[in-house]
Amino acid sequence: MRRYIRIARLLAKEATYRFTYDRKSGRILKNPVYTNIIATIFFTIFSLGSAYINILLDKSISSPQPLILTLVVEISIAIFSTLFLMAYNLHIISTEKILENLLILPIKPSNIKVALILLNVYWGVYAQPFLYIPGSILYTIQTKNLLYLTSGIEISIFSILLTLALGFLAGSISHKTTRNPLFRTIATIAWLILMGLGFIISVITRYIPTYIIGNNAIQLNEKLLKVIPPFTMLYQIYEPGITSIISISSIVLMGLLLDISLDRYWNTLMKTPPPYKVQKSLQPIPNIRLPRIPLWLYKDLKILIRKPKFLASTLYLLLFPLIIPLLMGFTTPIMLERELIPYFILSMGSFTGSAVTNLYIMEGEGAKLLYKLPITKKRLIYGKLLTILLLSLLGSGIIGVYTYIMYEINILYIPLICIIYVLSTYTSSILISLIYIGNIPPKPSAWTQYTFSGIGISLKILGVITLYLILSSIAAIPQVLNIFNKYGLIEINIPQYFLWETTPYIETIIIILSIFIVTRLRISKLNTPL
Amino acid sequence: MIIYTDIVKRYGDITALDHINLEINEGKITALLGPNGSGKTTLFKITMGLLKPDNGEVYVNGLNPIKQPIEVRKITGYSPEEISLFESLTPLETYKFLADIYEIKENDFKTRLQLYIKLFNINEEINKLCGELSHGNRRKISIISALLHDPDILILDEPFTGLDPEAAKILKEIMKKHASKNKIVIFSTHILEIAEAVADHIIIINKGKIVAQGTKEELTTIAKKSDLESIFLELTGLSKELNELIEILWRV
Repeated sequence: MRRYIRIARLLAKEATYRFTYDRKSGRILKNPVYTNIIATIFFTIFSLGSAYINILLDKSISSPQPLILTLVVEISIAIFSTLFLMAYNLHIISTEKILENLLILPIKPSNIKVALILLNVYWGVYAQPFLYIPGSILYTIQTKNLLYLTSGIEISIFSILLTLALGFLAGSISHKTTRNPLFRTIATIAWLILMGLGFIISVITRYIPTYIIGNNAIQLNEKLLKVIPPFTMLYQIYEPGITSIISISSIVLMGLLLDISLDRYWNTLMKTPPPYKVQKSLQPIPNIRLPRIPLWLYKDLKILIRKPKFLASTLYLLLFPLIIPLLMGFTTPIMLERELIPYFILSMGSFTGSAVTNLYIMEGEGAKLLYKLPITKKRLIYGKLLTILLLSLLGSGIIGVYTYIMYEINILYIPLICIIYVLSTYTSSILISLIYIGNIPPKPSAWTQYTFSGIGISLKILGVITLYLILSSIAAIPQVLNIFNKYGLIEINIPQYFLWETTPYIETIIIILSIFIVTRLRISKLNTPL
Repeated sequence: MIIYTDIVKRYGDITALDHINLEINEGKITALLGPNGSGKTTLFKITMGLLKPDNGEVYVNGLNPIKQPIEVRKITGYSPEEISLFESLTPLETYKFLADIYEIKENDFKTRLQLYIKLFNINEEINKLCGELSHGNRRKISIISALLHDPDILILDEPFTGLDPEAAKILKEIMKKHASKNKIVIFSTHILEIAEAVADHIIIINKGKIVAQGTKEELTTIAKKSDLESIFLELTGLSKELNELIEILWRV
């Protein structure tokens, strides 16, 4: 055991170093210990809180239904909060070849495999029992029935084994994401789901009351749920016997699944690609053609589509104006008053513009090369903006169609909405780029997300967001007052020209163009090398 | 002794090693020469049990690296071409970890480590993080890692890449001393002068096949050339191709 722990600690230290070590400050920026403490506290509060609500609704917990619905949310949180991170970390372990140092040593593969499990437990999986056990203790105290605790422990083991198994499975196929377009698409969708986790949980939580209370409560198919783990572990509290056998068997099966997926991941690590293609004499030179789009755009797009995490994050941010109303309203999207739409899109500009962050981070190791090229900071910013401009043009189409369908705006205004969206994204990207460019390491170095984080940078970004929110809020005051007038909340005279249908569009475009002019002046002074 | 019998290793449609039959003896320094992609690293990895051959067998001092990889690695010191270190550890922490894995006695550990720190002049680097060391120093750390447990077999893949002349000279002497203790020393290199100066036995490998082997004198006779570079280019068939390429270069 001592050796397992030693190897696991070594791997954890190494992986944390490779992910988050800041050479500038000599600090490890993200320590899993803090994340684990936060997760433990959050999970405990969630577990106790949901158990408390269930007890309030039914003191004797006479039916398993509320527990099942709580479990759906808990297991979703457990898996989503750790699965992708685990898959990503395992992907880094294989791509960074962290295990290679160990493989040449006289260490049994089984020792390294156990260390890998311990490592992932340390990376967050360990916190999962805190989602189930505190609640089950509360149920046990309330009902004086120890089976609640037993069930909580079983579900914890099941959840840990399931997450580990899925994580290793995902880790074993993650290397395919950069090569295979299908896997890249799947990975991008998976990242989009992870990033929209709040959205998914909001969907689940919105349905919970429908299930539990009200006339339209949907009856869960109990016969089916009794045999599906981990729900079967809850049913054993009410009907022990066959449910207990299924529960124990499912834990054993999960153990086997973990063993299989770990072996799969191991085989992926052991698969060594040929270092070089064996040379062939004087091969015909391939036909080399330069792409017909700007080369900077070509490079960034190529990298972006090969990195699903960054692609998903970029898409997510670019569609923020569309996602926010969906997140807030889900089944019936929050309907803005039509005249407020241009201001809303302007205020969202700072979020969509932050998509440019991904373009800087994804340079990664390649950033070192940028320092050696004859490029100025200005050219770098414009290079990145080109990609943002193209992506925002594509995004504007979606936003335009969405706005037209949902708000039935006169079609003549749709191009103006698209222009506002593109310009607000573009100008905020410039402002954010100006912050980053002032903080890039002075010496050639790889860029990571930690290069562009830190309190100073975060405050400045917050400043950009606040600027857009304030400008759009001030500009929207007459329209908001008019809405209040319309609903009889106040009575105030507003000059007529503020109430023209075109005014919000003209105002927002003027605001964006003003920002654009100011930022252009700022960029023109950046004719200095990196 | 390391014995390779009819070793074949394929990566898809690429044959990295094509029916290799070879014996590497104790008490000699063996150099493996070959162009990029000729199969040198693959051969080392098979010796360490890191890769399984598609055909043939290997015996390392009587041990089969596929069936007994742990035993083979206990008696072997391997420094890979692509330096791979625990970047979050200092060299000293790395060596302590290795002492635990190889079960090196404390006195031996101290004596050897002090010697290598002195020889490779890494006194100032010993407590810095490996991730912050220069390429040359990383190479030194990797070589010491391979030497620390005083292995019976020393496998060094491109060990001279990045080393300063002083460290390179020291490494040559270490290899000679190791061979003088009747141990196996095998290394690969692109620097033909080093192979010429150090190796007792030279193996030339090209496209996964051994094209020639022997002492430098024996190779001179085979290739009818006097210097190792000409011998190498002649035996690997690169000489003609190279001349054509040089012609193209001057034409453009």
